[in-house]
Amino acid sequence: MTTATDEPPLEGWLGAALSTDHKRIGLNLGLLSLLFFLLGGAFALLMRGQLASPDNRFLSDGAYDQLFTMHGSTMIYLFVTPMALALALYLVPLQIGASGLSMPRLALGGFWVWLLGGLTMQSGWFTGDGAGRDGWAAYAPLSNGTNTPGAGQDLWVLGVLLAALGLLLIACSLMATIARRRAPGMTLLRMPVFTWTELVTVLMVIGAFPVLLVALALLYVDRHGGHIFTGFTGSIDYQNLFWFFGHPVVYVMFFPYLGAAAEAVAVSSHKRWFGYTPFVVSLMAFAALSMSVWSHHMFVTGGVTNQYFAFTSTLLVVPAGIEYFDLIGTMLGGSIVLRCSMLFALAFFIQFMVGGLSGIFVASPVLDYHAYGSYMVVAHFHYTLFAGSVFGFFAGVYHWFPKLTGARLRESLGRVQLVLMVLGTNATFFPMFLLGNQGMSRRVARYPQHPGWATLNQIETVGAVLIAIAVAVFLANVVVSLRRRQTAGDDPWLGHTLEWATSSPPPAENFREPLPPIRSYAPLLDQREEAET
Amino acid sequence: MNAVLAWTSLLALLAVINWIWTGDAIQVACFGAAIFAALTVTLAVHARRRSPVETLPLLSSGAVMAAAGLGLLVFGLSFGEFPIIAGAVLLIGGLAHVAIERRH
Repeated sequence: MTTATDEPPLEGWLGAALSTDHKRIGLNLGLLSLLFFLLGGAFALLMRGQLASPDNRFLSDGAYDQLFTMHGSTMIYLFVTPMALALALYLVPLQIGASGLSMPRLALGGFWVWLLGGLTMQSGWFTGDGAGRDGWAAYAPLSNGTNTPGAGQDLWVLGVLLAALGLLLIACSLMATIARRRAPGMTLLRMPVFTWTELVTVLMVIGAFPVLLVALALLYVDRHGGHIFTGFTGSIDYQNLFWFFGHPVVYVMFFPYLGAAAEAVAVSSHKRWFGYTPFVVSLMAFAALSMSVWSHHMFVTGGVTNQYFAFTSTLLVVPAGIEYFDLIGTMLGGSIVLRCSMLFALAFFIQFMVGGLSGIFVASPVLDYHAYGSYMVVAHFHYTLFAGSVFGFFAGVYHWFPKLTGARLRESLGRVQLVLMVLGTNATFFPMFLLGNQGMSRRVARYPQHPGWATLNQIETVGAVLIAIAVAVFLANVVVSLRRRQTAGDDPWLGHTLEWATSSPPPAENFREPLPPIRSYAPLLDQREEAET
Repeated sequence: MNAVLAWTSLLALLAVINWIWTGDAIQVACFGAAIFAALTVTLAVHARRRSPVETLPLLSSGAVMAAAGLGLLVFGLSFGEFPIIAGAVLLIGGLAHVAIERRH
């Protein structure tokens, strides 16, 4: 049992900044992540402006290097990953019937450390040398003090270090919450699907992020005369350390959005999630396997055993297949309502499949030799992270917005956003497969005159603008929906999980009424079914 | 927690296969670090004293102060001594404040 202290809550900005309420920390983290998403998107638009025509002089080479570095870094360290944990901070305690986080000060401190890391990283723009410019992976020796001197890259290293540390602290608090604060009856195998995806996510954060912290600390020392990552071995060692974090983080940026999409599909199909136990087992296997595939990013280096990593990378299709099987099983025979959350979830599953299937290609060393360093790889990971995760994020937003605010988002504007986003996403990222296959290199500010390349790049630029318009429509939808509220009620979708058993938005202590009996991972659905019989 | 044990066992199995297949020390060390971190956090969570009624704080200025101190300290690595010293003072003060908060 947990109680809140009697101290009076502070109102206003100060109260929001110091609050240890999981909902407040989750909202703060989510809203700031969203701001960083807009910033990262602005960087992408500038890059697409540069690539709209061959040999364009809109941006200098140096500025382009900084933009692609900061675009990737902002999106990964400051948007998709923290947003995954922001969803968990807000929703996991509610889904497991807890009144708050375990170790809430750790989560609050983690949020602030992450934010200061983000600001440190972006402060590089104001230095004489500009922001970080060695890509989001900052490979050594390219990123050492000789090849990339200056404070901007230092600030990038320190900023990423702080951001990753902050997220690690939040993950520890979430882990403790799931371990210690589950409501009576909420056994592990009765936790909702979304909470399970967050559990494996925090496990991966706890397992992988410390290695990144070590890699970045060593890189910082290396940049200041430490000579740690020198020669071929040093370069391979850095890549091993970085990718031990760098690949699992792709799944950290996937699982929570898979969970959000799964909740939206199950509720919109009016059926419980099909194949719960195999889903949980496959998630565990997925998470463990995804921590043992990292060196497929290093196939071409000649410094790793390609066969092992090709084997484990290809094995990933098994748990992924189980999840798709469960998705189809959930929808089959269901009474499906095609509301925005469901449509975004379907777009997530369909488009992620393109990213997943192209992943099988690059999991094969022979094919990866062809694709490495080309736009094919850029297309692959944008299909997983943007066409996949970001669509899963919007599925979650449309699903849980009523719970957060008590108001519904406008379905009509949501559909406009969906159409624009699907068109924009595929116009931006699909041509990259063709360009990559024809040999267009990634990370270059200018490309040669080559038949068809200018046209394909112009299509991508138009696609990027469509995505920007779609995001603007989403923001307009939020403003309109909050100003002219359509009251949602506590449970507008007939939800399955405990967050729908409390008011919208939930009170400080989360639940004022006694919780319903928890006999499965869908306690509210159980209750409705019992009432019907 | 059983889920963590199951997951770390799976990871350990993959680590052993990696060790046999590649014999690469840094890769095995990475696996070892991940397993160690996951088990340590789980054990730390379980080792915490449980009381029948746990009080949740509503605010924590100490945690924010400590975070700001750490941020300033790390930022100072690029900009010189003053932010490092100010950050260290804030960090220590923040942690002390957290300790006081926990007593009340």
